[in-house]
Amino acid sequence: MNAIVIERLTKAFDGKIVFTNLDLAVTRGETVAVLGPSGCGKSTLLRCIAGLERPTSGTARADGDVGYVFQEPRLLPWLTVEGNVRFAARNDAERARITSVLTLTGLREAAHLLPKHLSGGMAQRAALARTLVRNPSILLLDEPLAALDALRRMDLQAALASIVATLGATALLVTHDVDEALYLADRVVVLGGSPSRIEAELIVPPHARRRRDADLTTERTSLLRALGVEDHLPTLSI
Amino acid sequence: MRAVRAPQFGLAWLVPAAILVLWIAAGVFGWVQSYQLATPQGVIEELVSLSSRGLLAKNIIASVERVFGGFGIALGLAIVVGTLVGLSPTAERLLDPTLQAIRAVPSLAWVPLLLLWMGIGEAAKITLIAIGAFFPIYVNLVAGIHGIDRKLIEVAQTLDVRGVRLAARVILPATLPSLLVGARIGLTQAWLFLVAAELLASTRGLGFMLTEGQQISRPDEILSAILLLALFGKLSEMGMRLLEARLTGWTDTFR
Repeated sequence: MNAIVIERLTKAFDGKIVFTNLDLAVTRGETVAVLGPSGCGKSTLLRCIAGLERPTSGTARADGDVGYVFQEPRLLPWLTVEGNVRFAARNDAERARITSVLTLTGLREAAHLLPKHLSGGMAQRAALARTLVRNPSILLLDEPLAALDALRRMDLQAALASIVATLGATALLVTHDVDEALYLADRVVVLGGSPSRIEAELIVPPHARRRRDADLTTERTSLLRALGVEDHLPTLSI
Repeated sequence: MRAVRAPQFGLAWLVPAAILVLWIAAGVFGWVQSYQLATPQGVIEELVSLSSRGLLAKNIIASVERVFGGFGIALGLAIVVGTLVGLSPTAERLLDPTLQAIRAVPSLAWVPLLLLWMGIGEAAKITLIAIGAFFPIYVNLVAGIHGIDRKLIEVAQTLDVRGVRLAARVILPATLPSLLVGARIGLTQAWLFLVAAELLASTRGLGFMLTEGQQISRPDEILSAILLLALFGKLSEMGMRLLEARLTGWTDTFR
Protein backbone atom coordinates (compact mmCIF):
# COMPACT_ATOMS: atom_id res chain seq x y z
CA MET A 1 0.00 0.00 0.00
CA ASN A 2 1.66 3.22 -1.15
CA ALA A 3 1.16 6.55 0.59
CA ILE A 4 3.22 8.56 -1.91
CA VAL A 5 3.41 7.73 -5.60
CA ILE A 6 5.60 9.62 -8.05
CA GLU A 7 5.27 8.58 -11.67
CA ARG A 8 7.33 9.79 -14.63
CA LEU A 9 7.62 13.18 -12.92
CA THR A 10 9.34 15.91 -14.90
CA LYS A 11 9.84 19.48 -13.72
CA ALA A 12 11.42 22.32 -15.67
CA PHE A 13 11.83 25.98 -14.75
CA ASP A 14 12.06 28.31 -17.76
CA GLY A 15 13.15 25.44 -19.96
CA LYS A 16 15.83 24.20 -17.56
CA ILE A 17 14.99 20.62 -16.66
CA VAL A 18 15.44 19.89 -12.94
CA PHE A 19 14.57 16.20 -13.13
CA THR A 20 12.89 14.04 -15.67
CA ASN A 21 10.85 10.83 -15.57
CA LEU A 22 11.32 10.32 -11.87
CA ASP A 23 9.62 7.27 -10.34
CA LEU A 24 9.35 6.70 -6.60
CA ALA A 25 6.84 5.04 -4.32
CA VAL A 26 6.76 5.27 -0.54
CA THR A 27 4.94 2.54 1.36
CA ARG A 28 2.59 3.50 4.17
CA GLY A 29 4.53 3.78 7.42
CA GLU A 30 7.89 3.92 5.68
CA THR A 31 10.43 6.72 6.09
CA VAL A 32 12.37 7.53 2.94
CA ALA A 33 15.21 10.01 2.81
CA VAL A 34 16.06 11.78 -0.44
CA LEU A 35 19.74 12.61 -0.41
CA GLY A 36 21.51 14.81 -2.89
CA PRO A 37 23.66 17.90 -3.43
CA SER A 38 22.01 21.30 -3.33
CA GLY A 39 20.32 22.24 -6.57
CA CYS A 40 19.47 18.64 -7.48
CA GLY A 41 15.75 19.29 -7.13
CA LYS A 42 15.13 17.58 -3.78
CA SER A 43 12.95 20.41 -2.52
CA THR A 44 11.20 20.76 -5.86
CA LEU A 45 10.23 17.11 -5.59
CA LEU A 46 8.55 17.71 -2.22
CA ARG A 47 6.90 20.89 -3.49
CA CYS A 48 5.40 18.94 -6.39
CA ILE A 49 3.95 16.36 -4.00
CA ALA A 50 2.49 19.11 -1.77
CA GLY A 51 0.99 20.95 -4.73
CA LEU A 52 3.19 24.02 -4.28
CA GLU A 53 4.66 23.42 -7.76
CA ARG A 54 2.84 22.15 -10.81
CA PRO A 55 4.68 19.25 -12.49
CA THR A 56 5.76 19.90 -16.07
CA SER A 57 4.63 16.35 -16.80
CA GLY A 58 3.93 13.19 -14.86
CA THR A 59 2.25 12.94 -11.48
CA ALA A 60 3.16 13.25 -7.81
CA ARG A 61 0.45 12.20 -5.37
CA ALA A 62 0.21 11.83 -1.64
CA ASP A 63 -2.69 9.75 -0.43
CA GLY A 64 -3.60 11.03 3.02
CA ASP A 65 -3.37 14.04 5.32
CA VAL A 66 -0.12 15.80 4.43
CA GLY A 67 1.98 17.77 6.90
CA TYR A 68 4.78 19.91 5.44
CA VAL A 69 7.80 21.17 7.35
CA PHE A 70 9.90 23.77 5.55
CA GLN A 71 13.62 24.36 5.81
CA GLU A 72 12.92 27.62 7.66
CA PRO A 73 10.32 27.83 10.45
CA ARG A 74 8.04 30.22 8.52
CA LEU A 75 6.03 31.09 11.63
CA LEU A 76 3.43 33.84 11.35
CA PRO A 77 5.31 36.65 13.14
CA TRP A 78 2.20 38.23 14.66
CA LEU A 79 1.12 35.04 16.45
CA THR A 80 2.66 33.48 19.54
CA VAL A 81 4.02 29.94 19.43
CA GLU A 82 0.66 28.67 20.64
CA GLY A 83 -1.17 30.94 18.18
CA ASN A 84 0.85 29.51 15.32
CA VAL A 85 -0.02 25.97 16.36
CA ARG A 86 -3.66 26.98 16.81
CA PHE A 87 -3.63 28.53 13.32
CA ALA A 88 -3.09 25.06 11.87
CA ALA A 89 -5.78 23.34 13.95
CA ARG A 90 -8.95 22.72 11.96
CA ASN A 91 -11.40 21.52 14.62
CA ASP A 92 -11.94 21.07 18.35
CA ALA A 93 -10.22 17.70 18.37
CA GLU A 94 -7.08 19.25 16.91
CA ARG A 95 -7.31 22.29 19.17
CA ALA A 96 -7.42 19.89 22.12
CA ARG A 97 -4.05 18.51 20.96
CA ILE A 98 -2.26 21.88 21.14
CA THR A 99 -0.93 21.42 24.67
CA SER A 100 0.27 17.90 23.98
CA VAL A 101 2.19 18.82 20.80
CA LEU A 102 3.74 21.79 22.61
CA THR A 103 4.87 19.40 25.33
CA LEU A 104 6.12 16.89 22.77
CA THR A 105 8.28 19.57 21.12
CA GLY A 106 9.41 20.99 24.46
CA LEU A 107 7.70 24.34 23.97
CA ARG A 108 5.19 24.52 26.83
CA GLU A 109 7.21 27.20 28.60
CA ALA A 110 7.56 29.16 25.34
CA ALA A 111 3.90 28.92 24.27
CA HIS A 112 3.22 32.62 24.83
CA LEU A 113 6.35 33.93 23.05
CA LEU A 114 6.34 35.72 19.72
CA PRO A 115 8.55 34.27 16.94
CA LYS A 116 10.94 37.22 17.21
CA HIS A 117 11.88 36.06 20.70
CA LEU A 118 12.64 32.45 19.72
CA SER A 119 16.00 30.85 19.01
CA GLY A 120 16.41 29.05 15.68
CA GLY A 121 15.91 25.65 17.27
CA MET A 122 12.80 26.72 19.18
CA ALA A 123 11.29 28.29 16.06
CA GLN A 124 11.88 25.10 14.09
CA ARG A 125 10.32 23.02 16.86
CA ALA A 126 7.33 25.38 16.83
CA ALA A 127 7.02 24.80 13.07
CA LEU A 128 7.12 21.07 13.73
CA ALA A 129 4.43 21.42 16.43
CA ARG A 130 2.26 23.34 13.97
CA THR A 131 2.49 20.47 11.51
CA LEU A 132 1.97 17.76 14.12
CA VAL A 133 -1.15 19.29 15.65
CA ARG A 134 -3.13 18.02 12.64
CA ASN A 135 -1.88 14.48 13.21
CA PRO A 136 -0.84 14.05 9.58
CA SER A 137 -0.49 10.56 8.17
CA ILE A 138 2.16 11.77 5.71
CA LEU A 139 5.06 14.05 6.60
CA LEU A 140 6.99 15.94 3.94
CA LEU A 141 10.17 17.23 5.57
CA ASP A 142 12.25 19.68 3.55
CA GLU A 143 15.64 19.77 5.28
CA PRO A 144 13.85 20.78 8.48
CA LEU A 145 17.02 20.60 10.57
CA ALA A 146 19.56 22.05 8.14
CA ALA A 147 19.65 25.48 9.75
CA LEU A 148 20.37 24.20 13.26
CA ASP A 149 23.68 23.73 15.03
CA ALA A 150 25.02 20.18 15.33
CA LEU A 151 23.91 19.52 18.92
CA ARG A 152 20.44 20.91 18.43
CA ARG A 153 20.16 18.94 15.22
CA MET A 154 20.96 15.62 16.93
CA ASP A 155 18.39 16.48 19.58
CA LEU A 156 15.69 17.17 17.05
CA GLN A 157 16.62 14.16 14.93
CA ALA A 158 15.93 11.96 17.94
CA ALA A 159 12.65 13.80 18.60
CA LEU A 160 11.65 13.47 14.95
CA ALA A 161 12.46 9.75 14.90
CA SER A 162 10.30 9.10 17.95
CA ILE A 163 7.46 11.31 16.66
CA VAL A 164 7.36 9.56 13.29
CA ALA A 165 7.42 6.20 15.06
CA THR A 166 4.65 7.26 17.48
CA LEU A 167 2.41 8.62 14.73
CA GLY A 168 3.07 5.63 12.52
CA ALA A 169 3.34 8.24 9.79
CA THR A 170 4.82 7.93 6.34
CA ALA A 171 7.68 10.38 5.92
CA LEU A 172 9.60 11.67 2.97
CA LEU A 173 12.68 13.51 4.24
CA VAL A 174 14.85 15.66 2.02
CA THR A 175 18.37 16.17 3.32
CA HIS A 176 21.98 16.60 2.31
CA ASP A 177 23.24 15.03 5.52
CA VAL A 178 24.23 11.37 5.06
CA ASP A 179 24.17 10.61 8.78
CA GLU A 180 20.75 12.17 9.20
CA ALA A 181 19.43 10.07 6.31
CA LEU A 182 20.86 6.89 7.79
CA TYR A 183 19.62 7.70 11.26
CA LEU A 184 16.04 8.54 10.32
CA ALA A 185 15.21 6.58 7.18
CA ASP A 186 14.26 3.01 6.35
CA ARG A 187 15.40 3.63 2.79
CA VAL A 188 17.69 6.24 1.26
CA VAL A 189 17.36 7.45 -2.31
CA VAL A 190 20.28 9.36 -3.83
CA LEU A 191 19.38 12.04 -6.35
CA GLY A 192 22.03 13.46 -8.64
CA GLY A 193 23.19 14.33 -12.12
CA SER A 194 21.86 16.99 -14.46
CA PRO A 195 18.98 16.66 -15.03
CA SER A 196 18.62 14.73 -11.79
CA ARG A 197 17.73 11.08 -11.61
CA ILE A 198 17.81 8.43 -8.91
CA GLU A 199 21.44 7.36 -8.87
CA ALA A 200 21.40 4.93 -5.97
CA GLU A 201 19.00 3.39 -3.52
CA LEU A 202 19.82 1.79 -0.20
CA ILE A 203 17.77 -0.07 2.35
CA VAL A 204 18.95 0.85 5.85
CA PRO A 205 19.06 -2.25 8.05
CA PRO A 206 17.00 -1.61 11.22
CA HIS A 207 19.97 -2.32 13.47
CA ALA A 208 22.00 0.42 11.80
CA ARG A 209 19.66 3.09 13.10
CA ARG A 210 21.61 3.76 16.22
CA ARG A 211 24.19 6.48 16.25
CA ARG A 212 27.06 4.45 17.69
CA ASP A 213 26.60 1.41 15.57
CA ALA A 214 29.80 0.62 13.68
CA ASP A 215 27.80 -1.10 10.95
CA LEU A 216 26.70 2.35 9.80
CA THR A 217 30.13 2.77 8.25
CA THR A 218 29.40 0.43 5.37
CA GLU A 219 26.19 2.24 4.45
CA ARG A 220 27.79 5.59 4.96
CA THR A 221 30.64 4.79 2.61
CA SER A 222 28.36 3.48 -0.09
CA LEU A 223 26.11 6.56 0.11
CA LEU A 224 29.06 8.94 0.01
CA ARG A 225 30.37 7.04 -3.02
CA ALA A 226 26.99 7.43 -4.71
CA LEU A 227 27.20 11.17 -4.00
CA GLY A 228 30.62 11.20 -5.66
CA VAL A 229 32.56 11.66 -2.42
CA GLU A 230 35.31 9.16 -1.59
CA ASP A 231 35.44 8.59 2.14
CA HIS A 232 39.23 8.60 2.53
CA LEU A 233 39.37 9.51 6.18
CA PRO A 234 39.47 6.59 8.58
CA THR A 235 36.31 6.43 10.66
CA LEU A 236 36.98 6.76 14.33
CA SER A 237 35.63 3.84 16.26
CA ILE A 238 34.88 4.11 19.93
CA MET B 1 18.80 51.90 22.48
CA ARG B 2 16.59 51.90 25.57
CA ALA B 3 19.01 53.90 27.69
CA VAL B 4 18.92 56.76 25.18
CA ARG B 5 15.12 57.10 25.40
CA ALA B 6 14.75 59.08 28.62
CA PRO B 7 16.96 62.10 27.82
CA GLN B 8 15.46 62.18 24.28
CA PHE B 9 12.13 63.23 25.76
CA GLY B 10 13.70 66.31 27.34
CA LEU B 11 15.71 66.93 24.19
CA ALA B 12 12.54 67.30 22.13
CA TRP B 13 11.54 70.37 24.20
CA LEU B 14 14.85 72.17 23.73
CA VAL B 15 14.10 73.74 20.34
CA PRO B 16 10.53 74.87 21.20
CA ALA B 17 11.88 76.42 24.43
CA ALA B 18 14.56 78.30 22.48
CA ILE B 19 11.95 79.55 20.01
CA LEU B 20 9.76 80.70 22.90
CA VAL B 21 12.67 82.61 24.47
CA LEU B 22 13.46 84.32 21.17
CA TRP B 23 9.79 85.09 20.69
CA ILE B 24 9.47 86.71 24.12
CA ALA B 25 12.71 88.63 23.52
CA ALA B 26 11.43 89.89 20.16
CA GLY B 27 8.44 91.42 21.98
CA VAL B 28 10.38 92.78 24.94
CA PHE B 29 13.16 94.41 22.87
CA GLY B 30 10.82 95.53 20.10
CA TRP B 31 12.67 93.66 17.29
CA VAL B 32 9.45 93.26 15.32
CA GLN B 33 6.49 95.61 14.90
CA SER B 34 3.51 94.50 17.02
CA TYR B 35 1.15 94.49 14.01
CA GLN B 36 3.40 91.84 12.44
CA LEU B 37 4.12 89.59 15.39
CA ALA B 38 2.08 89.18 18.55
CA THR B 39 3.78 88.43 21.87
CA PRO B 40 3.25 85.04 23.58
CA GLN B 41 1.13 86.81 26.18
CA GLY B 42 -0.92 88.35 23.37
CA VAL B 43 -1.54 84.91 21.86
CA ILE B 44 -2.58 83.47 25.20
CA GLU B 45 -4.93 86.38 25.79
CA GLU B 46 -6.39 85.87 22.31
CA LEU B 47 -6.90 82.14 22.98
CA VAL B 48 -8.61 82.92 26.31
CA SER B 49 -10.80 85.55 24.68
CA LEU B 50 -11.76 83.22 21.79
CA SER B 51 -12.53 80.49 24.24
CA SER B 52 -14.69 82.73 26.46
CA ARG B 53 -16.74 83.74 23.41
CA GLY B 54 -17.15 80.06 22.45
CA LEU B 55 -15.30 80.65 19.18
CA LEU B 56 -12.30 78.47 20.04
CA ALA B 57 -14.36 75.33 20.54
CA LYS B 58 -16.48 76.14 17.49
CA ASN B 59 -13.46 76.49 15.20
CA ILE B 60 -11.65 73.46 16.58
CA ILE B 61 -14.74 71.24 16.34
CA ALA B 62 -15.40 72.39 12.76
CA SER B 63 -11.85 71.53 11.69
CA VAL B 64 -11.62 68.23 13.57
CA GLU B 65 -14.94 67.12 12.07
CA ARG B 66 -13.73 67.92 8.56
CA VAL B 67 -10.39 66.20 9.06
CA PHE B 68 -11.88 63.01 10.44
CA GLY B 69 -14.76 63.05 7.95
CA GLY B 70 -12.37 63.30 5.00
CA PHE B 71 -9.87 60.92 6.56
CA GLY B 72 -12.58 58.34 7.29
CA ILE B 73 -13.82 58.40 3.70
CA ALA B 74 -10.24 58.17 2.41
CA LEU B 75 -9.41 55.25 4.72
CA GLY B 76 -12.50 53.27 3.67
CA LEU B 77 -11.96 53.89 -0.06
CA ALA B 78 -8.22 53.24 0.11
CA ILE B 79 -8.74 49.91 1.89
CA VAL B 80 -11.25 48.73 -0.73
CA VAL B 81 -9.36 49.98 -3.80
CA GLY B 82 -5.90 49.18 -2.37
CA THR B 83 -6.89 45.61 -1.50
CA LEU B 84 -8.33 45.12 -4.98
CA VAL B 85 -5.26 46.54 -6.73
CA GLY B 86 -2.88 44.73 -4.37
CA LEU B 87 -4.44 41.31 -4.84
CA SER B 88 -5.59 41.37 -8.46
CA PRO B 89 -3.11 42.04 -11.29
CA THR B 90 -6.06 42.85 -13.57
CA ALA B 91 -7.37 45.49 -11.18
CA GLU B 92 -3.83 46.85 -10.88
CA ARG B 93 -3.44 47.23 -14.66
CA LEU B 94 -6.92 48.74 -14.87
CA LEU B 95 -6.80 51.25 -11.99
CA ASP B 96 -3.27 51.96 -10.85
CA PRO B 97 -2.01 54.07 -13.81
CA THR B 98 -5.04 56.38 -13.56
CA LEU B 99 -4.73 56.69 -9.80
CA GLN B 100 -1.01 57.48 -10.08
CA ALA B 101 -1.83 60.23 -12.60
CA ILE B 102 -4.46 61.71 -10.29
CA ARG B 103 -1.96 61.52 -7.43
CA ALA B 104 0.46 63.67 -9.47
CA VAL B 105 -2.05 66.57 -9.60
CA PRO B 106 -1.12 69.27 -7.05
CA SER B 107 -3.73 69.47 -4.30
CA LEU B 108 -4.78 73.05 -4.89
CA ALA B 109 -5.62 72.31 -8.51
CA TRP B 110 -8.72 70.46 -7.31
CA VAL B 111 -10.12 73.43 -5.43
CA PRO B 112 -11.73 75.37 -8.33
CA LEU B 113 -13.28 72.20 -9.71
CA LEU B 114 -14.64 71.10 -6.35
CA LEU B 115 -16.08 74.56 -5.69
CA LEU B 116 -17.71 74.51 -9.11
CA TRP B 117 -19.24 71.10 -8.53
CA MET B 118 -20.16 71.22 -4.89
CA GLY B 119 -20.31 74.87 -3.98
CA ILE B 120 -18.62 76.28 -0.89
CA GLY B 121 -20.29 73.90 1.57
CA GLU B 122 -18.86 71.10 3.65
CA ALA B 123 -18.94 68.57 0.80
CA ALA B 124 -16.20 70.31 -1.20
CA LYS B 125 -13.95 70.64 1.87
CA ILE B 126 -14.37 67.06 2.97
CA THR B 127 -13.80 65.80 -0.58
CA LEU B 128 -10.56 67.77 -0.87
CA ILE B 129 -9.34 66.36 2.45
CA ALA B 130 -10.34 62.85 1.37
CA ILE B 131 -8.35 63.23 -1.87
CA GLY B 132 -5.31 64.31 0.12
CA ALA B 133 -5.54 61.50 2.67
CA PHE B 134 -6.43 58.76 0.18
CA PHE B 135 -3.15 58.45 -1.70
CA PRO B 136 -0.66 57.81 1.13
CA ILE B 137 -2.98 55.11 2.50
CA TYR B 138 -3.55 53.57 -0.93
CA VAL B 139 0.11 53.56 -1.97
CA ASN B 140 1.30 52.06 1.32
CA LEU B 141 -1.42 49.42 1.39
CA VAL B 142 -0.67 48.24 -2.16
CA ALA B 143 3.07 48.14 -1.38
CA GLY B 144 2.26 46.22 1.81
CA ILE B 145 0.20 43.59 0.00
CA HIS B 146 2.82 43.21 -2.73
CA GLY B 147 5.47 42.85 -0.05
CA ILE B 148 3.82 39.95 1.82
CA ASP B 149 6.31 37.14 2.29
CA ARG B 150 5.47 34.48 -0.32
CA LYS B 151 6.76 31.89 2.12
CA LEU B 152 3.94 32.64 4.55
CA ILE B 153 1.36 32.28 1.79
CA GLU B 154 2.89 28.87 1.02
CA VAL B 155 2.51 27.85 4.65
CA ALA B 156 -1.17 28.75 4.42
CA GLN B 157 -1.40 26.74 1.18
CA THR B 158 0.07 23.62 2.79
CA LEU B 159 -2.45 24.04 5.63
CA ASP B 160 -5.37 24.44 3.20
CA VAL B 161 -6.03 27.96 4.46
CA ARG B 162 -7.51 29.94 1.58
CA GLY B 163 -10.19 32.46 0.61
CA VAL B 164 -11.69 34.59 3.36
CA ARG B 165 -9.65 32.82 6.06
CA LEU B 166 -6.42 33.51 4.17
CA ALA B 167 -7.40 37.19 3.84
CA ALA B 168 -8.39 37.59 7.49
CA ARG B 169 -5.71 35.48 9.16
CA VAL B 170 -2.66 36.07 6.93
CA ILE B 171 -3.01 38.90 4.41
CA LEU B 172 -4.66 41.41 6.77
CA PRO B 173 -2.22 41.04 9.67
CA ALA B 174 0.77 40.90 7.32
CA THR B 175 -0.34 44.16 5.68
CA LEU B 176 -1.35 45.95 8.87
CA PRO B 177 2.05 47.63 9.49
CA SER B 178 2.05 49.23 6.01
CA LEU B 179 -1.61 50.17 6.29
CA LEU B 180 -0.99 51.93 9.61
CA VAL B 181 2.04 53.81 8.25
CA GLY B 182 -0.13 54.91 5.32
CA ALA B 183 -2.92 55.96 7.66
CA ARG B 184 -0.53 58.01 9.78
CA ILE B 185 0.82 59.86 6.74
CA GLY B 186 -2.74 60.17 5.40
CA LEU B 187 -3.94 61.80 8.60
CA THR B 188 -1.09 64.33 8.43
CA GLN B 189 -2.06 65.02 4.82
CA ALA B 190 -5.67 65.51 5.95
CA TRP B 191 -4.58 68.37 8.23
CA LEU B 192 -2.60 69.96 5.37
CA PHE B 193 -5.55 69.75 3.01
CA LEU B 194 -7.88 71.06 5.70
CA VAL B 195 -6.05 74.36 5.72
CA ALA B 196 -6.15 74.53 1.91
CA ALA B 197 -9.90 73.94 2.03
CA GLU B 198 -10.60 76.39 4.85
CA LEU B 199 -8.38 79.16 3.55
CA LEU B 200 -10.53 79.49 0.46
CA ALA B 201 -14.09 79.46 1.60
CA SER B 202 -15.24 79.02 5.13
CA THR B 203 -16.83 80.80 8.06
CA ARG B 204 -15.36 78.66 10.82
CA GLY B 205 -12.41 76.38 11.42
CA LEU B 206 -8.71 76.86 12.11
CA GLY B 207 -8.03 77.79 8.47
CA PHE B 208 -10.74 80.43 8.74
CA MET B 209 -8.97 81.90 11.78
CA LEU B 210 -5.90 82.28 9.57
CA THR B 211 -7.72 84.20 6.81
CA GLU B 212 -9.72 86.28 9.29
CA GLY B 213 -6.55 87.15 11.22
CA GLN B 214 -4.89 88.26 8.00
CA GLN B 215 -7.90 90.34 6.85
CA ILE B 216 -8.32 92.21 10.13
CA SER B 217 -4.56 92.39 10.82
CA ARG B 218 -4.56 90.30 13.97
CA PRO B 219 -1.24 88.39 14.20
CA ASP B 220 -2.33 87.02 17.58
CA GLU B 221 -5.25 85.23 15.92
CA ILE B 222 -3.02 83.90 13.12
CA LEU B 223 -0.45 82.60 15.60
CA SER B 224 -3.19 81.03 17.74
CA ALA B 225 -4.42 79.12 14.70
CA ILE B 226 -0.89 78.02 13.76
CA LEU B 227 -0.20 76.79 17.29
CA LEU B 228 -3.48 74.90 17.37
CA LEU B 229 -2.72 73.31 13.99
CA ALA B 230 0.71 72.23 15.23
CA LEU B 231 -0.86 70.85 18.41
CA PHE B 232 -3.58 68.84 16.67
CA GLY B 233 -1.26 67.64 13.91
CA LYS B 234 1.19 66.41 16.51
CA LEU B 235 -1.55 64.85 18.65
CA SER B 236 -3.02 62.88 15.75
CA GLU B 237 0.43 61.72 14.70
CA MET B 238 1.18 60.56 18.25
CA GLY B 239 -2.16 58.80 18.42
CA MET B 240 -1.42 56.91 15.21
CA ARG B 241 2.06 55.95 16.43
CA LEU B 242 0.57 54.63 19.65
CA LEU B 243 -1.90 52.58 17.63
CA GLU B 244 0.96 51.24 15.51
CA ALA B 245 2.93 50.26 18.60
CA ARG B 246 -0.12 48.53 20.09
CA LEU B 247 -1.13 46.62 16.96
CA THR B 248 2.20 45.79 15.35
CA GLY B 249 4.51 45.15 18.28
CA TRP B 250 5.29 41.77 16.73
CA THR B 251 7.43 43.22 13.95
CA ASP B 252 11.10 42.37 14.29
CA THR B 253 12.67 45.63 13.21
CA PHE B 254 15.71 47.69 14.12
CA ARG B 255 13.76 50.43 15.94
